[in-house]
Amino acid sequence: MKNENYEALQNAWRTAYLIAGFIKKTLTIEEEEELDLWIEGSRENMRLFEELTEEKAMSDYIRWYDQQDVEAKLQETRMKLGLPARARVVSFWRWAAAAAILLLICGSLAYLFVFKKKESSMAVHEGKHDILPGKAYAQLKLSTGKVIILQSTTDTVVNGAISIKNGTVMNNASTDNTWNEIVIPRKAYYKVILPDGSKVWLNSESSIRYPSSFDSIRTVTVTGETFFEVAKDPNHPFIVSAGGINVQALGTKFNINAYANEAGTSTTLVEGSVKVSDVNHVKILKPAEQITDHDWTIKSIETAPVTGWFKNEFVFKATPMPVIARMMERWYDVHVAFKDSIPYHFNGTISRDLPISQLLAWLEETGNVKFEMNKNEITVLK
Amino acid sequence: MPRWPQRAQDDNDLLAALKKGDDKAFDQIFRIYYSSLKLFAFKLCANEQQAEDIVQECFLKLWRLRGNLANADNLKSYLYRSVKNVFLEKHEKRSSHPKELSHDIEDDSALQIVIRCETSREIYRVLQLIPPRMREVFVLYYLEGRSTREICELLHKTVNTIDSQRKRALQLFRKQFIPG
Repeated sequence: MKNENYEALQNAWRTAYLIAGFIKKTLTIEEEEELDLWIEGSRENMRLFEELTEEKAMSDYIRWYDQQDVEAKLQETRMKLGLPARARVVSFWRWAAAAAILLLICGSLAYLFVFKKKESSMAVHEGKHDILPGKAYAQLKLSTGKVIILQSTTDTVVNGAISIKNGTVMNNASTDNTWNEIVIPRKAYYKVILPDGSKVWLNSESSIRYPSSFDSIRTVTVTGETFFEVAKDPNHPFIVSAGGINVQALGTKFNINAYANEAGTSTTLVEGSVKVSDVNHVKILKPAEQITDHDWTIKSIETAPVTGWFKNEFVFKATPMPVIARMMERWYDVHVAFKDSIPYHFNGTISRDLPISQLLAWLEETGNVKFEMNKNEITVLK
Repeated sequence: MPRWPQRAQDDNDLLAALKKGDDKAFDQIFRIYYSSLKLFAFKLCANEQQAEDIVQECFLKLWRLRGNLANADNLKSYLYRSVKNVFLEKHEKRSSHPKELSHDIEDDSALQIVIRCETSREIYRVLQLIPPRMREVFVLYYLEGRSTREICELLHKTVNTIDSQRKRALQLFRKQFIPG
């Protein structure tokens, strides 16, 4: 470390301390004067001070810090250094919250961490019988009654308005007033570009119904789970109707989970703004907020676990085993039965593009759950 | 209540323990600085994955070279400088004109980034010590400048609840102040 550079950095630490103190309103009079002197020192200083103390600036940083999975990265780093894995240190309030829940349910609850791995070392389920992951597959139903089977390799022109390319249904604006429907079974996904350029990803056991050309209001109906990237067009509101709710958007990205076997239809906003409504409610979401129509309460959440599927990943964050089981059922077309209930929540990210054996073995690595597989029947055990 | 070390003195203790091969000290340092170093790296390279790789490499070096850190008298300065150096190495490997880039940490622009990272780290550190419910109110009111009425609507709480949570959060926020 060069000594001549030492001072510049020391000054930077001092400035950060003063600005943070200003935000915390904890500066002494002398310190305030010191800060004033620094601000007056240059235009850049003034600008930086204004930037950091501007409303919302700090909340953007906080959101950024919130998104960092420091513990996972620490464990990964320890692994690379050959240091033994260590149990997670939970911050006091998280610990207090966990303790409160513990008291409530009088059971044992723990957060388990499964770390991202390129390859999993598997023995348990390999060999005898495995189940492959879902793939690009869909049925396109035209208003004429014609049904076309789509796969990732199908590059065709269906008619003047619809063509299939790279596993995506492309719709050009057309003049006829008909409806098309895309249905995704279990073990499949597909992507569609609507006549207005909006993109929709469809998860397994899902569907979308949309007109061959949009009117002044762009309306589509969906079931199951869908992720939208709506093309900006302020003059033509975009409305998604899903399981009894309407989600209205201008140019935004959001996820709708309307599976019948989940607790209500939930809308998660990634970017922009949406209005979620039914006959009795109207709510407006900000990015990283989620609402479910069983309680209509807006929650701040991390979006990665919700939207992981459309990047072809399972992203778990304090995810209970029954939720994971339902994801497996849809993605691998299996039936999951619980012999024991699993009082643990799981964290981690793994590709969806793996046979089921790898997912199961990866979950078993936590030591807190076991699986038995018999053809398409999966049994969950302690 | 656990409290993250903040003063230079704590950093020195951690550094001394690290030199002796204490991996708990390594974990502590990682937890304290990882996010803000990644923010620094991210502002330098504008790529989140690269930023993660750079910071991880710095921590790998920190542990592997722990015996030779004798002249690293200031942990924080050492870490930020290490991020910059790894960034430059990686950048030079890729770029055919390494000289074009002069992200010296003592550049005014780099120092400004460092100030952003360290200011936000301190605010975030203090916020961690406020219970989540109060923290939400605190962020909405003080950092986002929303009105009590808006917050009531957002969180479905009464004005009284929001007001008392806001005041208690502010008290807690200020109590965490430790002279540097």
